[in-house]
Amino acid sequence: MSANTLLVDPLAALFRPALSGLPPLVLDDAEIEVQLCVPLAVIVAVRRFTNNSDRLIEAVLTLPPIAPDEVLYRLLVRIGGVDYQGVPQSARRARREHDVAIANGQRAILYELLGGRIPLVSIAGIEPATQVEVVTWSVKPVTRLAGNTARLDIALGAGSDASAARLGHADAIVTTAERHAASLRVSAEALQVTISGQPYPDQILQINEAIGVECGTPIVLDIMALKGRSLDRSEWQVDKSGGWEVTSERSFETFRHPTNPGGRISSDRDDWIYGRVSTATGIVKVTAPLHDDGNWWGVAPVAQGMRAFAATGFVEAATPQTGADVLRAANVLTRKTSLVFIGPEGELPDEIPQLRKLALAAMDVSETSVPSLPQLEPVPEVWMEPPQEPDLPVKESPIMPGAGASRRDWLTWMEIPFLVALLVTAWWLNLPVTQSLAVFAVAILLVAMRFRPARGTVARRRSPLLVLLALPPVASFLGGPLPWQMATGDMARIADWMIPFQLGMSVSALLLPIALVIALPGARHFVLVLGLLAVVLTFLLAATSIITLSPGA
Amino acid sequence: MTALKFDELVRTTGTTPRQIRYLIAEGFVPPPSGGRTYATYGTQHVTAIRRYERLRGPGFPPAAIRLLLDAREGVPVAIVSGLTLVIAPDLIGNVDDVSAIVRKTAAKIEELLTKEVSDVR
Repeated sequence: MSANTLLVDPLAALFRPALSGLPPLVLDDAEIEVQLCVPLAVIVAVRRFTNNSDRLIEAVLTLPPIAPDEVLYRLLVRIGGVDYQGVPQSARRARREHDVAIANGQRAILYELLGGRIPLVSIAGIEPATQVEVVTWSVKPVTRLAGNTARLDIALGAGSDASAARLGHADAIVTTAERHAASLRVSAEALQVTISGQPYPDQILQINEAIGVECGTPIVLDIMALKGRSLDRSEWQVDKSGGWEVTSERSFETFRHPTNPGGRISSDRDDWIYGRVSTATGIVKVTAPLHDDGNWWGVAPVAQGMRAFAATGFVEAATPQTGADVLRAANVLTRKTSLVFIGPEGELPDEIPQLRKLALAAMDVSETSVPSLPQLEPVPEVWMEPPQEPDLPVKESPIMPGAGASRRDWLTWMEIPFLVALLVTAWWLNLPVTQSLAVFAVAILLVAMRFRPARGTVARRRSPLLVLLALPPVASFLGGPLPWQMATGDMARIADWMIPFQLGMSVSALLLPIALVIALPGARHFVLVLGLLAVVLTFLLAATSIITLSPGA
Repeated sequence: MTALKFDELVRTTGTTPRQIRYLIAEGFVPPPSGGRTYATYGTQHVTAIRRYERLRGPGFPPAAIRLLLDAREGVPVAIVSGLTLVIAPDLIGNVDDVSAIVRKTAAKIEELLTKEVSDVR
């Protein structure tokens, strides 16, 4: 029996002061922007926090359960000024790739819906002293009230929730009595919005102006139509033009203004948020109504939100697009679909990040007054140990996504001049050109493979664009003297156009990699290495053509 | 037990990778040996994770679990009204032959709580 099995007093433990664990991170501030397009509201929440430890961390933020009919559809994480977008992927696969990436020391971001209701954001690979901005987009219907008014509730903090209590401690919501600055901005057209529920008197909001709010108190917005308009949009029937539509037809963009479907309309709701249309040909359409009179400039800012909202109404498994396809295309976060970003290897230091929970303001602590935004002061702590200020290392140079190992960055390019020098030497020594070029091409491709963009990234999805790099050398070859002679047998005056054409191809080969670097963010090394291969091949082919066509050659 | 990789530890304990990262960060489970590249886990990691998960089951929050594991007084587990079992932290999730302990415990409880006086005196 070890020393720990000796029992002294079963009650003694209960009289000890609580042991302090790792304190949760707290938010620096939060900004909420509400775009009202009644009957829908698009909510953009910006939450900022700083890694105030001296270690690489994984920050885990669990948000309160979403409201019924609320749809989450976009995540952007800004770490040290660099943007990372989550892309949709099956939830199980996203979680697995996220876990593997963390174990490999890569930057990894996951936005998932636990139990279908509780959003969780995990951001691994946050360096010391770095501020992180988490931006989430959601859309939800406003609550219809009597008298042509509506209401929208927003909560920045979190209270106790039975479903959240069943989560594991790594996934559970963590709250703190500490307060952070928070502000609200509402944009709407021909609407009067009154804020209430705050520790200051109810007031009518100035549209597009920020107002300080209390992060631990629910925000209540009462909405009323102005200029003789009505909040009731039921006149916008789904069989008329005037809604945002998702359809079972597969097309380049599946979301569009509805045309007259000439079909059967059904809806299980009385607020006309969803309208399901079945056409005679079996096509299923779901329409979310427009908040405006069909003006594109009014729809554009919230189009993605409306698209996501309409997609969630598409529950019927019509062919060829299933409900899951539609939700995935609309970037909608569901029990089966998560948003994920996996950074490239070598971007971060070789270190396992330390998991830190991020705390939300506790909703059950009442406040008596809320100062304006800049004067917000944190409430004295009640139960949480204050985090100690560590000696933070000075960050000398930011690491960009897609870059290789930063500490020996210059080494990554050493192979390229070495290979080019080998090729030039082979040419100088009159070694067979074809074999030399083949060896050079294989070596360059092997170098390029090291910089291949990670799965799930924007660059990986756009990698088919790299085929464009092959166009200049192919065109240079096909537009050269030999194929021309074989095809036409006429070599008269071809130098007049062929030499400028070959020069043009050389310039194209130089410019294309630069354009593709912009089109494929995060794959700079990959594009430039492949671009170099295209440039060398094009230059050789162009030089051969020009020399052949030059008089006396 | 041989050294386990992280995914083997996940399978053995039946908990999630995030929960294990959380337990390591909070100090409930020791960090792996071998650094990031060759991180390996052993019996102590499996036992620590099982012990934590057993205590999480009845609803103890992390602060209470920390307190109970750190104290030597044992973990009180309510059985019925008026009866609380106190278990040494080292035994939680770490006993192979539970049935023998169960038999002895049942016999002791029966002996202490029964109204009838035993014939064997």
